Amino acid sequence: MIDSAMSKKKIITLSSAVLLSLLFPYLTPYTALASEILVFALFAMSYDLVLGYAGMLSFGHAAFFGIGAYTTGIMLVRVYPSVMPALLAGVIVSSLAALFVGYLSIRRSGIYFTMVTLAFAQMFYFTAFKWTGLTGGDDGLQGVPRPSIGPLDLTSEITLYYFILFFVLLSITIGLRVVNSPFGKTLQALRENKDRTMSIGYDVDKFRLIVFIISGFFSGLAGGLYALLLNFVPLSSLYWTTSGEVVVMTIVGGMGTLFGPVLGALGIILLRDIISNFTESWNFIMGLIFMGCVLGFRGGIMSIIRDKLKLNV
Amino acid sequence: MLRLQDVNTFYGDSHILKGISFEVKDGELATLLGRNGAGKSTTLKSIMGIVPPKEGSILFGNEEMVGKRPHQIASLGLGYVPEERAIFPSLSVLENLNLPTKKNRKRLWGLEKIYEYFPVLKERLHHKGSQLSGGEQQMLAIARVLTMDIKLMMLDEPTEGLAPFLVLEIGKILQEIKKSRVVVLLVEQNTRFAINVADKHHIIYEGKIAYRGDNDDFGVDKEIQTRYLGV
Repeated sequence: MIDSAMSKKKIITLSSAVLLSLLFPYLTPYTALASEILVFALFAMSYDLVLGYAGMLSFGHAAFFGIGAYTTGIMLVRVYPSVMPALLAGVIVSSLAALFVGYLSIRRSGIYFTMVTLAFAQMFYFTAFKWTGLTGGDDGLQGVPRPSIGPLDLTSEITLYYFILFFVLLSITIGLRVVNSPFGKTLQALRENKDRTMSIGYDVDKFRLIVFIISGFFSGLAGGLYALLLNFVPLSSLYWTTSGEVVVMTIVGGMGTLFGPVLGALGIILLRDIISNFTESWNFIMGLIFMGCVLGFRGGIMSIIRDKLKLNV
Repeated sequence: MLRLQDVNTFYGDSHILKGISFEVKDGELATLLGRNGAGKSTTLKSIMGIVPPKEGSILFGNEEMVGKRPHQIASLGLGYVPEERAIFPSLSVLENLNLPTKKNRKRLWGLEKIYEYFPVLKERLHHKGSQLSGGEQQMLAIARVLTMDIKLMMLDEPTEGLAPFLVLEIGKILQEIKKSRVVVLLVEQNTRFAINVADKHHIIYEGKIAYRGDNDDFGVDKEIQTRYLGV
């Protein structure tokens, strides 16, 4: 009884979320803002796999986002102007980067892991900064085209929004499958206690590496979509502040929930857009919000929503 | 079955195990006794590879464990129930039991037998680990290891802080585990419980084995019990 009521409520919540996401671009001040929220929602969700589920505080996720963005952009600008192969190249290269960074960092835990990921991300940043011939350096990679896919005219902002939405919904579906699988349960186990998980026969490092690569894959996809959305790749996509932003979105939204970070991205980008109309120092206000979240409600937006839903029963 | 030879283990600079040697044979239920800080838990962690020894040899069957990583040691058939209620709080009881998730894996005890000996777990299959009482968590920690394909089971103070009737339950379960032809190595503070269940005892004192003896001898040797355990 309770189970069926719960799942009914779940279905209602999910379908209203999907409906809302379809109408969303008509509710935001301009369409590109809705698309940007989607891109960061995907990025934050992929980051949540690492932070929320595996308990690894990576401070270098800008690397995979930025590498996805640059690879997709460079493919479109310099190699072959076709969207799907460019996105595919983006996720492949960012997954390989995650394999590389992950392999060298997961053996460290705690603050050392965090610092190693940050160091690698900054290394990629400076490479992009110096290698102007390939990346455009400080100016970013300019003039990323949005070639049509068959009848899909991606130069239309609203079409692009739905194109991005398709990938985001697909990724969330896959993400949910991952976290509810035995693999996902093992990740939660090792987040809670590494020694115990090893003692029942799991190669903990292997699991950490796999989830890191999966996260790199989706971060790279978010980056590639970001390049399409902006028509260029900003150098800042690789900068550590981007890593910081995704940490904040995930924590404010509620880590370990997948949907929480999506809400975190929504809340933060929307607020930033509104606040920056009034003041340059929106970072200050974002900082206050972040502190409020960490001190006041540890579970983030998602925990508040969960409590409310329960109260409504 | 299990033979430790001159095992030396360090935590950083402090020398905890100073040449531990002992042997547990097939079919035995042996204990490691001793005061707090003597090195009992460290011995188990050294065997498991969680705190790898610097020197010495640990043979399990004919295989050397020193140098292997914990997950490799576990998959050779060593089950370990650590000290603090070693469950996963955010997973349900059933998920905890199924966590060693390899499909079609061999289990020492099937779930039916687990439910028979741990009826309380069957009632709470879909509760989260964090929602169990201390005793139930301990039961779950033991049950989870029994769902693995183990030949040797190490338990670190399974009775600590449990109500007397639960201590009795655990005693019964240990006897049943022995019947499953699993060797048991038990770390205990509760000497009376140890005497009730075990075949032989080892006392660790300041990082060395200070005494070894069969249960028949040890059980009546009040002098030894007082000297090393302060009972």
